[in-house]
Amino acid sequence: MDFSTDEHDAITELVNIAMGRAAASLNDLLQATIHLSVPTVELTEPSEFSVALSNLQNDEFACVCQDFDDNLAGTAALILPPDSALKLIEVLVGDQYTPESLDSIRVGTLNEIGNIVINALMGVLANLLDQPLRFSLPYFAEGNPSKVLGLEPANSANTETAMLLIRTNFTVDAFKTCGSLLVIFRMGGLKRILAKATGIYDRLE
Amino acid sequence: MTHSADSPERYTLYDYVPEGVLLLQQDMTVLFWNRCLELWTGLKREQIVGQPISVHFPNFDKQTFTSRLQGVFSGGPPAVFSSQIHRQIIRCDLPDGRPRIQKATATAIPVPNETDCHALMIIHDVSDLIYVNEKYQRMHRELVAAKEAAEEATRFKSNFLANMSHEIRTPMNAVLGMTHLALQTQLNPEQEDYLKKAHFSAKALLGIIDDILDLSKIEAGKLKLEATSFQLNDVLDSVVNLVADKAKGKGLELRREFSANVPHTLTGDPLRLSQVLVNLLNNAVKFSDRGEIVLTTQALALDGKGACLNFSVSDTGIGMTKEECAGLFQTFNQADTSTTRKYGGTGLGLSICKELVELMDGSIEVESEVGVGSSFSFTAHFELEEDDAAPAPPQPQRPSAPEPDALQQIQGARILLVEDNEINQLVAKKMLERLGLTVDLAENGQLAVEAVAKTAYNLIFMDIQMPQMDGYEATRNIRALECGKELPIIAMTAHAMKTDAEKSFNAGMNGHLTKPIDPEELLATLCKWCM
Repeated sequence: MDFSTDEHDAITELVNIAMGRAAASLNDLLQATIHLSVPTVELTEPSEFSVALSNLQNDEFACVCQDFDDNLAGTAALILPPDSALKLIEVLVGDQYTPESLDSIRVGTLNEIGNIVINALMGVLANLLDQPLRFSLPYFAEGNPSKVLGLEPANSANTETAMLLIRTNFTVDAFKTCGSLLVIFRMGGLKRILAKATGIYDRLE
Repeated sequence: MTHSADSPERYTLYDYVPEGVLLLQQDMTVLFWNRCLELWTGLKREQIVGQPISVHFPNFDKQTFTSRLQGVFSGGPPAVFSSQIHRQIIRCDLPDGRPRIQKATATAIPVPNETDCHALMIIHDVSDLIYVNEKYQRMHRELVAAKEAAEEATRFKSNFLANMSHEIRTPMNAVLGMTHLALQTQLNPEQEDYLKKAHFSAKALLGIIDDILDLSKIEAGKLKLEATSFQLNDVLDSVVNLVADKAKGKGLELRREFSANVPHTLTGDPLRLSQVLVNLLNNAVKFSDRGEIVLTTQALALDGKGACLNFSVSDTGIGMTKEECAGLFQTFNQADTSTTRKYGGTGLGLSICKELVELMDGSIEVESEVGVGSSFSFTAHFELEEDDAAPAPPQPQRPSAPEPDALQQIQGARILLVEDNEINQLVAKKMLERLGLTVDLAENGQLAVEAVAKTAYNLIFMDIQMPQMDGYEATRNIRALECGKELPIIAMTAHAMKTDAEKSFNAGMNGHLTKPIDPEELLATLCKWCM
C-alpha cells in the first residue's frame, strides 16, 4: 500500500493536535510542563516493527494499553521506562514504598494515568476523523513493547501486512521522567483514515 | 428528571453483584443505585435515584470526575479511577469505622435515540488490599529503620575499635620500647627474667589487640585481600620457623609434608595465608604436650588459571569432643572456657581464620578425638602465574635485614624525630642513639618545619597525630622547602590500617612504620634511607 507525502503530512498534523491534548491532560495531572517531540508516522511491515521501535527494546517497560475497534482497529499505548513509571506514581500519590517494584495497587494508578492520557489522545483523534470507536478498558503489561503490543514478527505472521505506527516521545523535566505515546492502526481501516485525514488537512490549509 | 429511553429497570440484575454499581446520566443524575451500594452507604435506592450524585457525594463535583465522566457521556473511551489517586469514590466507611477504599471504572452505555450516553460505574472495594499493603509498608519502613540502626551501630563499633586500638597502641609502644631498652642495660638475672616476661606479655597483648582490630575490620567489610605474586615455600618456611622454637621447647616434632603437584608461585595474599597457618600451628603447639605436629599441603584442583590448595595441621594434643568442635569457629568461643586459664587466648583466632579462609574462597573444618589429637584443615583458592616457572616479580615487603657494614655506614647520621608524646620521644630517641645516630626532637609539625629550614637532616621520623600541625601537613610544608624536597620522611604512627599507610604516601612520605616500633624494622628502614 502506498503512502503519499500528502497523506503523511495530513496524518502527522492530526496526530500532532491530538498529542497536544494528551500532553495537556498530563500537564493538568502533574502540574508540570510536558515537552513533546514531533510525532513520527510510519507505515511499517511486520519485519520492520522492531526497527521502528528500536529504542524501546527493553524487557522492563511499563505499558498501559487500550485496544479499540469498530470502524478502525488498533491499540493506543503509554510506554514508560520503569523508573519514570515509579516517579510518576511518587509525584501523584507520594508513594515511595520499595521503589523497585510495581504491585497491583500501583499498577492501578498507572492504569489511571495511561487512561487519562490515552483518552485525551484518542478522543481528539476519533473526533477529528469522525469515526466511532469502541474501546477496551486500559490494561497493564510489563515487558518489551513490541511483544506487549503483539508486534513481534512471529506473532504478526497473521493476515496483516502493514500497520500505521504513530509515535511521540515526551519528557517531564521537573520530575526527570520520559515516555512514549504509541497509536497503532491495523490494516483494515488504514485507507479510510488516510482519505479522511487528507480531507481534513486540505480544509485546514 | 429528564426521562430516558435507557430504562433503569434493566439494571436490577446488578443487585446480585457484589460490587457497587451506579448509573449516571449526562447531568450527573443518579439513574440506578444497586443493593451493594445501599449496604455500603445505608442510602436506599429511592433516597438517591433522581438526584444529582453530588448532593450525597460532593467529590463528584471535582473536575477530576466531571471532565473525565463527560468524555464517557459523549461516547468516549471508558475511564478508570484508581484507589491510590482517589481512595474513596463513594465516601463510606467499613463496619470497623475505617474508610472504605475503592477503585472504579466508568463505561459509556449508548441510549437509544439519544446522542449522549449514560455512564455505568462499577465500584470495587479494595480496602483489604490497601490496608494490608499499608501494614506491610509500615513494617517495611520499621525494618529498614532497624537495619539502618544496626548497620550504624556496627560502623560505630568498628570505628570505636579502630580508635581504641590506636589509643592502646600508643602506650604499648612505650611499654615495648622501654622494656626493650631496659633489657639492653646491665641487669641481674632476676631483673632480666622479670623484664623479659614483661616484654613477652606486652607482645602477646599487642597480638590480641591486632586480633580485635582484624575482626572489627572483617565485620565492617573493610578487610581486603591482596593479590600479589609469592613463593608458597617462603610462606611455609616462615610460619614453621615462627613456631619451631616453641615446639622444640615442648619436645614436639614439627614435620612438613608437601605433595609434588603443588605449584610454587601463587598469586594471593601471603600475609593472610601466613596468619591462618600460624594460628593453627600455634594452637597445635599450645594444646600438645608430646608427639608431633604435621603441616600438610596438597593441591585439590589445578587448571591453567588457578589452584585450590588444601592445608592441614594435625597434632597429637588434648583433642576435643564433637560438641566442642561444633562452636569452635564462632567469635569469642573456646572449646572449654576453663582452657582459657590453662592455655590462654581470646577465642578470636579461629573465627578470624574462618573469615580469612572464606575471603580466600575456601572453607575450614576440624576433626578431633579427645586424648588423640586434632586435625584442622582448610582450602584456599589462588591464582596462578601464566608460567609457573617464571620468577616472582619484586615485592613491596618489609626491608630485608641489613648487612653488618651497612650499620657502619649510617653512623653519625642526623635524624629529626617529630613526636609529641614524651615517653615515645624517649623510646625512639634512645633506640636511635644506641645505633650511633644524632637525634634532634621536634614536638609538633610546626617546629619540625622550622628545624628542617635551619638544619640539614639525613632522615625524619614523623608522628601523624600531633597538636598544632599534624604529620601530613608538616610533610607537605617540608616538601615545599628547597632543602626538603628529597629528604626521606618516614611516618611513625599507631595507625595500623592499610589505608593509613596510603595516606602517608599521598602526603609525600617515603615510608611508614607502625608503633610499637620493632627495633629490627627500624634499623632496616634507616639502612634503606640513610645510606
